[in-house]
Amino acid sequence: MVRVAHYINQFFAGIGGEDKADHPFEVREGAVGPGRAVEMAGGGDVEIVQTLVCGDNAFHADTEGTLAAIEAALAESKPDLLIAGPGFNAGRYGLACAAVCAVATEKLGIPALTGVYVDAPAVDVYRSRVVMVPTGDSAAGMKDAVEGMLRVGLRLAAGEPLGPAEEDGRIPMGFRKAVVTETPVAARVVDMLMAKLRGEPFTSEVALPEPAEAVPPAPPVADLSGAVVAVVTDGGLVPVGNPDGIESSSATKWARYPIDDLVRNDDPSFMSIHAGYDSQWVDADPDRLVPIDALLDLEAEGVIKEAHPYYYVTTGTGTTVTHAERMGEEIAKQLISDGVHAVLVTST
Amino acid sequence: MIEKAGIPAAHLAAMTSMAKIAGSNRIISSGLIPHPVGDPSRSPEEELKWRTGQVRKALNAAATPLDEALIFPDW
Repeated sequence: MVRVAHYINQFFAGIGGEDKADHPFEVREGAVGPGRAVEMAGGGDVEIVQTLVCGDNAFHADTEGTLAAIEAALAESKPDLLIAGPGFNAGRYGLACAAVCAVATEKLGIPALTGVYVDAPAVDVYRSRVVMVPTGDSAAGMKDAVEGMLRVGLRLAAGEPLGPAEEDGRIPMGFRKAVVTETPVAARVVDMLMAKLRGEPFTSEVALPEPAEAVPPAPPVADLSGAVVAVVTDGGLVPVGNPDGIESSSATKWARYPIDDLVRNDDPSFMSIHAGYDSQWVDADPDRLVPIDALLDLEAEGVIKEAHPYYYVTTGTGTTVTHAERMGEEIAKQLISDGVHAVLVTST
Repeated sequence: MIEKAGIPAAHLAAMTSMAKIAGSNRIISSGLIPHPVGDPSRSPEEELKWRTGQVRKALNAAATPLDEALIFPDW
């Protein structure tokens, strides 16, 4: 018998809808609402030993206090597994489910999982920390959701290691795991290429990023000869010593440095701290990344009015889209306040 | 994000398809991955001449009206 603790909100506990969203946290014995479906799917091998119930607003009004109470309840009942939700596409409920799972696994070492719709807010926030099973976007998908959660949950409770997300029926957590395969990589990639050439299906072993949301093109520069032009790069070029501590990968910081310093490239001299490419050619001549010599020549020729006195830099390897967008917004704001008309971006 | 803020941004990169996936609008194929505006195989004078040409292309891209993202041809 697998002993399961189950977290649900006021709605699934049958207490009420939005009008009861401030229902305080409580612990009930046995299965409530979807917990009965969990027991049924378990076919007599699964018992819900306690149901943790909290209103969606009550949870978020005092997240810390609620999580502490949940931690205490779980420490006492010592279940083999915690199941939260499924939260489907709900914002508050999904986030609460994931937060409860995080507490169970990280603080108490209790295997835990939730079920959410792939585009639910909880996925963005908790995907790397919490095991999640994809569900439909509404409670109409309850039966499939419960079966999917239990399939993964029973394996977690048995102490089995996670496999590839797709094979397990999980939402990818974003980490890679080395495995030994029968076929070496060269043979696999040639097989893949042959399948592609024959028009047969194949599965890449590298997950490509989703294309970014399209941004409508900015209006063009009307008159280059009147334009102030700045250079922005993700190639990690910084003064030696990296005074602003820009990360070598997974950057969260950007900085700007005077192009006059870069032109002299002496006291300070410049180098790339980017961990994702061989920077020997850029270190030997930074113009190969930040083309200040060419830009100043074009300024002297009158092709542009002026090279903006700073270049802007971060490191573009392993950098999350969230940080990249935030840094882009911050840099854009600075460029606008400095009266820049056009930007050259260089990427390694 | 720079284009979103209304400033045209010409993106010089070797991996143009990656630039497109990342959401750039004005993309110029340039150089190699470790030196997008460098060509160490040339003499320093020739390299600067080539680089100035690449920067000119990028400036022209910034001055070109667009309806959607474009990888500029090597004109």
